[in-house]
Amino acid sequence: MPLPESAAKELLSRGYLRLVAGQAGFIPGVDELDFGVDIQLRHVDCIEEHGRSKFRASGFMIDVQLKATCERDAQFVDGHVLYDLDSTAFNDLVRRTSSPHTIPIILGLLVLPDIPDEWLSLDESALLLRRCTYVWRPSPDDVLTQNTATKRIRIPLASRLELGTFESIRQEYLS
Amino acid sequence: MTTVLQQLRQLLDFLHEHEWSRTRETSRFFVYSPPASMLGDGGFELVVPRDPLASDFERSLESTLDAVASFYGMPFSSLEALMLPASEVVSLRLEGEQYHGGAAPFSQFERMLEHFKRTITRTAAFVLTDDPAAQATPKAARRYLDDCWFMQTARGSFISRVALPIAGTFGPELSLFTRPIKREAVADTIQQVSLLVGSRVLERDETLFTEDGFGAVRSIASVGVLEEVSRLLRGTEARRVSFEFNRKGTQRDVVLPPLTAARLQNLDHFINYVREQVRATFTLSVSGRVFEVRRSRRTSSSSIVGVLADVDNRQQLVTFKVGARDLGVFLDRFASRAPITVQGRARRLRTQIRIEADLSYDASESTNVEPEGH
Repeated sequence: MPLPESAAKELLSRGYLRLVAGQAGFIPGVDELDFGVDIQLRHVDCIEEHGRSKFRASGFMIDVQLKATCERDAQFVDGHVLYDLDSTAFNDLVRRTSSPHTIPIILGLLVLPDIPDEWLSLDESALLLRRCTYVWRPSPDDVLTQNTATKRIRIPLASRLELGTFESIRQEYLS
Repeated sequence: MTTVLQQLRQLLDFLHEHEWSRTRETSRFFVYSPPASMLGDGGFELVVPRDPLASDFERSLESTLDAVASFYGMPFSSLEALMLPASEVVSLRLEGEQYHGGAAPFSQFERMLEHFKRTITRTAAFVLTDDPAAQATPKAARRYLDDCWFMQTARGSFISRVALPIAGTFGPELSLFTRPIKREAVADTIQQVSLLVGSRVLERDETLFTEDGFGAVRSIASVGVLEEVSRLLRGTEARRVSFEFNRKGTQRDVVLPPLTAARLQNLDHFINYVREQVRATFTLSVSGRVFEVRRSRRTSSSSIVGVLADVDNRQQLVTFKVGARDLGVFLDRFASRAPITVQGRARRLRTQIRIEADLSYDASESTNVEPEGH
């Protein structure tokens, strides 16, 4: 493998998210200062001007923090994936979500097969990135952790990143 | 300094003035639709954050401002200028190793800000006193600075932006006789000075050092302003500096050439030349009509007289100070509109000629005498 495994996983998680965001009407970007955010997604909407369709940013943003792991480092229990998130990242997410805010923040956890050669394959008919990204947001019950290393999170298996995920979040915030 | 609440207010006013309609309000956002003429079938919705207590309110508002700027296909600073129609937004863009990534070393930022402020104050002082050699800063020039807004720093290379007031005039007590001084003269002068420095001074345009060449730029050549611009350029230690002026959505960029030691020396050389020129006096003898007589200061017994006379083939204002003993002569001439001949050692200011020494006058005749050489 030409890159360290951790770097390759991180790049794959970014690529995965960018591909899905682009298809879902959100433009991915990276700010100069990340403030715990790996990728910002800017929503774009269609407008017609002089009979021509143009796409313009609507002002709505979603912040995404990304993690990547392998199946062996995540546990699948009772319809959930369990992942030990580092405490700082956990507290950042809880702090952002529990205070009044307008920009949602989500955690995207890419789970990859254990064997690196199986992560990605491509040929003339398809680009195949195996397994998926799960999306997690703190619930109102989550509180800041005192743990110094990690905090275990439980993500329902149904909370997979899909093409409609970002739009659902937008609708939730605009309701 | 613009607060986020002011920015929100300006944005809402802007949307209202541009016929956007608020379609709904949620707990987090005002949702707007574009003007009907631009809506089509797209169903575009602009979101404007409404809760200033939200921890990310500033970022969210910035995203909305970006969206509106993108909607109208204009730079971010143009949008700000449209939102502040009584201002000209001056952006100072710094480029160089130390400004990479949109951050600035604190000491350089501090120097840049200080000299940026002083450049504005010195320019306002120049406009108000009309004197390119004056070192004093009138209170009104400092008050002008108080009316400026330091704006959010833009992304990209390091950019600082200030909104300079351009509407209205300075108070009547500060007017150059009956001509009130427009506040936009400060922004105009900063723009012209930056253009002069960027396109000619740093490149050592030798024609500036000729009588005609300097005469053409005399109205914007102030020692104090140029010194501050020099300190500003040096203080930033930037490799490149550019100014962007945006008034009501129309942008003009002044890009200075790379700041090498040789170019900065050219600036010093020009400042020394300007210093000599603006301090130089010459013998003036002119005949004209008394235009106005006014008390020089509220507590002073002397008065300032303005005579409109033909100098160098055009009408110019010649001013001088007179004591109580001579005041009656000029008041008579003002009332009768009869010409008077005045002479003395004079100096050229920004828009007028001031007799500063050896004043004498002859009220008995009305001959018109051309000034002697400099």
